[in-house]
Amino acid sequence: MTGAVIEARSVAKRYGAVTALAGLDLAVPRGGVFGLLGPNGAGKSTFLRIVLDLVRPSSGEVLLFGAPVDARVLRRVGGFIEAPRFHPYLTATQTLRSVALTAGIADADAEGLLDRVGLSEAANRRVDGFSLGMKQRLGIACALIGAPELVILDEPTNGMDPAGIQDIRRLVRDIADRDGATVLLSSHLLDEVQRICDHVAILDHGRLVTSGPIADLLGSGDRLRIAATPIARAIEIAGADARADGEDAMLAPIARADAPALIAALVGAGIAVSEARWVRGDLERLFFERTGQ
Amino acid sequence: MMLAQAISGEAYRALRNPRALFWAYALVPLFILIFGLGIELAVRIDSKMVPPTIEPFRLAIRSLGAGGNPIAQLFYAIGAAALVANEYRWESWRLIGPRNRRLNLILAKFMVYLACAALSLAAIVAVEFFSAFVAGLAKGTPVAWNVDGGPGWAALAVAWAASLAELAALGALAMAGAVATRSLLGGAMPAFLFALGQSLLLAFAQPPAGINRAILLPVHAGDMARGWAQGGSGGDALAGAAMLLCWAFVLIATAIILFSRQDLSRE
Repeated sequence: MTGAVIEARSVAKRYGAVTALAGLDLAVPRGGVFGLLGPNGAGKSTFLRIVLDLVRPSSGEVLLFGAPVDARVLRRVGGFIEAPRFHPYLTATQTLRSVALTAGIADADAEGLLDRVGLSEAANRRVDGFSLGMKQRLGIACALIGAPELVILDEPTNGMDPAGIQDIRRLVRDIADRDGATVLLSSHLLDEVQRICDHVAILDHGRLVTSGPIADLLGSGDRLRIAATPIARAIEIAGADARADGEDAMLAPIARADAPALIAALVGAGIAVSEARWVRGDLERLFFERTGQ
Repeated sequence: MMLAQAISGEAYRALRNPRALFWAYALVPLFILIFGLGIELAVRIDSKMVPPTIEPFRLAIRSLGAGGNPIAQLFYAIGAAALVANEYRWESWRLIGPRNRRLNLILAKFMVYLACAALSLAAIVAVEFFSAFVAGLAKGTPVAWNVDGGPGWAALAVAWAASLAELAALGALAMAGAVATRSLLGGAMPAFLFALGQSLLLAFAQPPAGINRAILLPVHAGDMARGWAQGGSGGDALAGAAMLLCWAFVLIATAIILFSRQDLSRE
């Protein structure tokens, strides 16, 4: 876990009888874009709130850059949670200046930030007239105040049109590649995460179910889908890693070179094999597999 | 340093919300101006009891008693509570919360409130001076700027500080209420009802005399603190001021502790 910008150790959060996080252990490595995935209620936003010190964990701890979360270490972090909210009577420029002043950054380049997120033309408009997409852009601009080392973006493309989504995807990569910041991105859009993230973690019921470089997780995800009868006996022969896929098929995570031998073993055992094909690893499949949905 | 930054951000936001500034801090001086001029010009000008001189200091010191008036306090309480409650209403804590210490964020709001209240009280003094000047012109009566034996600038400053201390206690109560209930009404109404209750108690009941009474009733502590400016005891004035500062300290500390332990789960 050395070099992690965020390290969560057995973090739990309970709201009365509801458990939002149930002992989460997670490390976000420095650099690149880290995708945080999970179904609704998995605890993603709660975790991000804890990282930003908006919510205190019931137990466990979160370290930022190796130190406990406090106002000083948070000066190295920028971010927004869920739909960003603003003081409605301020303009976009005033919003950035007010946040910058609170953060002790007197010389923030508000115009430059607004230009970067594509809001230059709305710089002097009051925020209460902004669309959701414009608010998302302004939220990202606020997150970038002070050139933070860690940028936390919660569903940053919500409410955006397709062109806006493309802009934000490019911007997120740019923050990581050009600015050298680590981006922690929470999203429901699996395709989006697969396109722009280097690492991914999947949460479910407040726990981490898988985490790692996205290339590793997907690269090792090619599986042979075999429809056979009886399927229980086929799974038994395929080994412990094989899993049922529907009522009459299984997924076997094996090397391509081992496929003929497995099929031969099944046929030799008197199992009727009606179909065998390779299923490519993708984030959607990984997500549904790991979250059991 | 971080507190100064929090104050800077808070002041920046507050100054760009003129509607809130007007209702909370400008309405009381404006009310005093309108009614002061009305009374001076419409009533006293025809009175056979026109005083030989007009003493603006005495008038201003008396007007600063507005700091203890429940109706005026309602507006100041709304101003204090709004600074906090609007962050919940607009869910904007999530924007500024991670940018500074929670202690500083509440203290900054309190400081900005105090600055606005101080200016509002100064405006009350200014409108009294203005009213006295206009009344003097209208009646042809000389205006006595610190006549011998009457109150002067020092007395005015003490009365102003006492009223500010009283508003500090009120604002701290409103902010603590707003943090606890996450709402404007939850902040302003308890402060207003507390102020009203004190006034009624002072008017109709006989609470214990002296220092005990001041401990219970900030409005009485305010009267004691202002009393020196009107010829009262210096000891009582000091005790009253100390009580007000204690009230303010305890209440703002309560607001800070509540806020520091609070989950900003929706905000």
